[in-house]
Amino acid sequence: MTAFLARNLKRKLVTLFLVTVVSFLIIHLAPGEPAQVDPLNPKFTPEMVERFRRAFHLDRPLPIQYVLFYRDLFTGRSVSWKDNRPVLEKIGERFLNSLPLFAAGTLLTWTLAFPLGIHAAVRRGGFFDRGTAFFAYGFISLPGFFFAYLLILLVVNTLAVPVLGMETYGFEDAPVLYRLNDRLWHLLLPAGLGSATGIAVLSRYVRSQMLEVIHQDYVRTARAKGLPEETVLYKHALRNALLPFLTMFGLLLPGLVGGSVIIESIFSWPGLGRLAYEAILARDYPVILTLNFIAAVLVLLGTLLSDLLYAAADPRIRLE
Amino acid sequence: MMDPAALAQADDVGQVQHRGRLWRTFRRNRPALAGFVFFCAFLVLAAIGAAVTSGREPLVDPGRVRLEERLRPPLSPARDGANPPFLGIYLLGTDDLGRDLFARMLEGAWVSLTVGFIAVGISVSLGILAGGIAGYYGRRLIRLRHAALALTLVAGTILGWSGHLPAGLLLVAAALWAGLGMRRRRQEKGRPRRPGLLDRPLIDIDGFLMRIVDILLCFPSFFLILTVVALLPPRMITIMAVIGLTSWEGTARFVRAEFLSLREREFVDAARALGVGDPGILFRHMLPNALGPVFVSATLGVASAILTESGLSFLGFGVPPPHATWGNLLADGRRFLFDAPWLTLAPGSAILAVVLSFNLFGEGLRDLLHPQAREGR
Repeated sequence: MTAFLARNLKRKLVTLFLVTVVSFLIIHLAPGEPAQVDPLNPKFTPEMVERFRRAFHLDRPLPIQYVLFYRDLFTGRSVSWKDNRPVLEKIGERFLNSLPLFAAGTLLTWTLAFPLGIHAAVRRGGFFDRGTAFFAYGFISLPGFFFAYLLILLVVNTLAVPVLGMETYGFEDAPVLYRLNDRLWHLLLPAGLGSATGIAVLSRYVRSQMLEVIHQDYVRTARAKGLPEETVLYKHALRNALLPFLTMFGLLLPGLVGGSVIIESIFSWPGLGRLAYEAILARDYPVILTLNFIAAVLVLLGTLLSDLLYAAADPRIRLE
Repeated sequence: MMDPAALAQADDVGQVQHRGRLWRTFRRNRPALAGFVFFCAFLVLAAIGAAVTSGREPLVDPGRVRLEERLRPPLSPARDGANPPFLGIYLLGTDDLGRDLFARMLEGAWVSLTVGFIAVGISVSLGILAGGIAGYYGRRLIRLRHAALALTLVAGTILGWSGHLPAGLLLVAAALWAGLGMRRRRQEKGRPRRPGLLDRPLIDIDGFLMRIVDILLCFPSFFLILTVVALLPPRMITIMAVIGLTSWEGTARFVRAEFLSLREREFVDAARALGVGDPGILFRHMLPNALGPVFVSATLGVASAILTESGLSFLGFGVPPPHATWGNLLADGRRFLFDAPWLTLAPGSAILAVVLSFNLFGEGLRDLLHPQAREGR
């Protein structure tokens, strides 16, 4: 177990290092550079550009820039080129905004997808199964923002659900309970939208897993023993069907960073995805690279976590 | 004993029967059949659309601006006599410049399809290449000299590119010369040499390629696509290339798995015993057997490429203007969401329908190619 962890961590660290190199190269070898973002601005005299380049080490050779950048990142000194604020502070603040959206979306996805998928598998070929299949394919095939606009059309014209932002403007002084309520209403649409595709994909997957397990010999044995159908389905079949989802659970983590650019843009939600988008538009390299680094760490942590979870749940798997 | 002709005929009959059975099974899967029919209809429509809207004097002109007929609702009659829209009415209404939405949708159909197919073409070929090499040659070792060679080549190319042409050419030439030397020495196969420092094994090919896949998986894909597309000059080809280059890992993984198992099969041994070379084994004997799942994932990939393009358009990084795609029509329409909802609804529903048909068709194919899964349900 310890040996597995050590080997795995070493491998992951090497991958992480390569990821930092690759992302750095992608950003810096692309044509154009931030000092030239606005050549028509009269304030950008050649001296200004020169000072700017020196301040952000842009006049040094690439390998040195690389070292300097990651030194700054790890010592927490790197600042956004856009507004000179520390990158980590900016990201931390946006992270707190993204978290409720992510949590609500994930919660919705996982609580709804499982019952839907299991039910569809048990009543295979029936009305419910076909209905969910229809909707699932629909949601998978719908461009996310088109669906969002359809909902906005519906919601703004008929129901009084708030659509934009995280809370109603000027609500800062309202009592806590009102503010909480307001927040929750604002969360409803983006979280619902964000989870729609997830529910569709996951419920199909749950269904197919469940179907695969139902036809195993041990389920037939359980039935033959005369166990009640409930026990057979939910104890013998479901527990085994759940195994692959442990893997997916670990892979959820990276969704925190990259998952929601479009949703956050539509609803003007000041979260991490939106931050990434703004940083890309402004060529704010420190923010882009830091976000990328965090995403990579989350992916690697996620795969490690899912390996460990899998080993903990399935006695057939030994990590060596 | 049967004579060869009869044998061949029997074989043909078997083939035909097999195909017939597959087709019957496929036909029973109603949604997949519907997807397939719609998919074909869409192909025809896109081809017709490209034919009618391109050329110097197109039958219906998607670029014609009629400022006096802005934001007309669908089915309203046209007053522009010089270049009337199809049937003389705006079937799907007009946009904020008075351009005929129907004509633009026709033009966009072809462009959207091109984006989807080329992106998937790139990703599938890369996936087959990487997966095939990893699966078939995976156990061969990459030695220090190979790495040194590759590094010299890359350094030479970069140097040559960035202005130091003579130095770059020198490095490339040196690398090529060393490479040829290595090849000659391998063919000699004389006395065994003592392995030197340059023969130190670094990693096997399989491990190397899978490491690349690991690295790619570390980037959230939409974020990566967005970054690259935003940094590069906006061109249609970059968007297709970037979507293709960031989505080949899945194909590579299962082609690799398929090749690993195919490599051990008897018919591959038989082919090798008959003296078929590596390319023949790879392309004539193994690849066709691994193509089924590739085809499925390609079909699903076209759907997701069209969706990705529309997402990029929404963020302002889609296929740039003169070209209309359904993605950027949809993205442009949102400014008039409340005043002219048809500008959003028409391209949106079109994308939904096409992506849905690709998905249904792909899933149907998967069911067809995985009989175990079919019996399971």
